[in-house]
Amino acid sequence: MLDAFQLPFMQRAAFEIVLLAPLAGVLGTQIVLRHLAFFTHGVGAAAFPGLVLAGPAGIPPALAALGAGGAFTLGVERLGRRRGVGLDAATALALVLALAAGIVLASDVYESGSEVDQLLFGSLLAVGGGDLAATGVALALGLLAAAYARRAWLAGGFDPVGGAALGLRIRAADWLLVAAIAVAVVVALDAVGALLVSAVLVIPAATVRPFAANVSRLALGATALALIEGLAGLVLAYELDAPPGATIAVLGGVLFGLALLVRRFR
Amino acid sequence: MTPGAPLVAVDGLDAGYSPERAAITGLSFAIPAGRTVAILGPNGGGKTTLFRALLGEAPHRTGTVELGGTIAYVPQTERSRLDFPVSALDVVLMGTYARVPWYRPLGRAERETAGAALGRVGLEGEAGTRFGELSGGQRQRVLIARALAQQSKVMLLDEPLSGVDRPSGERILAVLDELRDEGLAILVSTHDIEQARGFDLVLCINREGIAFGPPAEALSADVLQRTYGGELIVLPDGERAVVVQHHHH
Repeated sequence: MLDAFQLPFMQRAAFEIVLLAPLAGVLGTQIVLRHLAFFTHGVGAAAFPGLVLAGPAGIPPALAALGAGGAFTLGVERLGRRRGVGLDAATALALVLALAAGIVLASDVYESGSEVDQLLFGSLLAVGGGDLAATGVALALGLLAAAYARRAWLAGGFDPVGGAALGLRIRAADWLLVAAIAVAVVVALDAVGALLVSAVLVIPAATVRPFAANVSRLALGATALALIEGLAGLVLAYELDAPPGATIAVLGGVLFGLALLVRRFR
Repeated sequence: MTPGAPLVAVDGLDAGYSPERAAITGLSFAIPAGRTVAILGPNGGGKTTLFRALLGEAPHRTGTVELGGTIAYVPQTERSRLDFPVSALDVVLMGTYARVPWYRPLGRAERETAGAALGRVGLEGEAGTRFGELSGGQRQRVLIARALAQQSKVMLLDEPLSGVDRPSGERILAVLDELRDEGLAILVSTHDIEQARGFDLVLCINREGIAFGPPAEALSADVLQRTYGGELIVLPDGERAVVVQHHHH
């Protein structure tokens, strides 16, 4: 089984997972605690039309995805603040529009549908050196943001009303979190695609959450689980000749279900 | 500020979401060090807006607010997230965050400050208990300990006694009196007119200042009528009054 890792593309895929796992741990913890899972899923979906346009327009895909994700974030924030709309409805609306726009654009831009598959569900086995470098930079930025804002994230998430009175810049820290999530989503697109980013950024943290006594343990546990699910999913996909992004997502779902059972009978 | 100057000085304050929708207008009062102050008013009468203005968070504000020191705020416990994986001690430590640069981990000094604050509200034995597993009264005391750990000169408390069990309520009132004796200015919003009589000063507001002074002067039937309007019922003995709360949440 480990023979598979003799292959260069498997090595690169495994390295991508090693880089994504700490992002999944640190940011996944905040995503789960702050109820940002649906938003995270939405940023992934929003990146899709950006990616569709990037190739023919000659824009680097990561930049296009980041631009689309940023526009989505600002749009949802503005729309969600309106009376009678709400953040979840705004997210759903923008998510559907982004996916639909991407599909409409793709029908003209691309000849075959296989590229669309890759954008939506990832192409972990095709990860290149540039993708790895981008993920490495995102990891460094994400960890730095978490180190800088960890206290404001904790205090603001626990109690937004009282948090600001603690002398912390809660709102600025919240924007930093949203930006860090958007960057993490963009670099996770190579591995799991626009529709499955939650498999990396949400499911591991959500699985560990009921068992974690504090925020640091949740982050560490989610990192470990993201690593295990990613590598095991990769090997499984190789053995079964299945798409790796979807295999990792299915594995994540199965382990989440098992964790629920363990919790119930403990 | 000069010695003897008030710790909280508010002059001609207008505050709210916008100039057209000011929740309070023309409010003036001054609170010296070492006083407890009850703030009475109907729902929507501007108590929350006043607190936000004192904390510098009101979207719109004119007039002056002068503070003789930093300010700590104790929110209602329902506003905090009970499902967060934080212990009582973790929550109290949040009160020390602003003093510690981001690149330095919390040290022994912060832990001692937080531990002492928990002891002061009588919860030293619950330091490791998850915040969400504490009773409502204990949670309120933890949030007061967090404000203590901020070591501020002014403390604002948003209805700290509503829905709190009796031992917790008594402990909270005792701690507030101790802090007053140490020279802090303590501002407490409340719905309970009888409770307000136990404070040094009472501020009655209903979109504007109605009365400010010792309870014996400020809590006259006329003032209460103007503060609460139709929400007030005077009991048959003619002495006591109760407020019928209409919640508009």
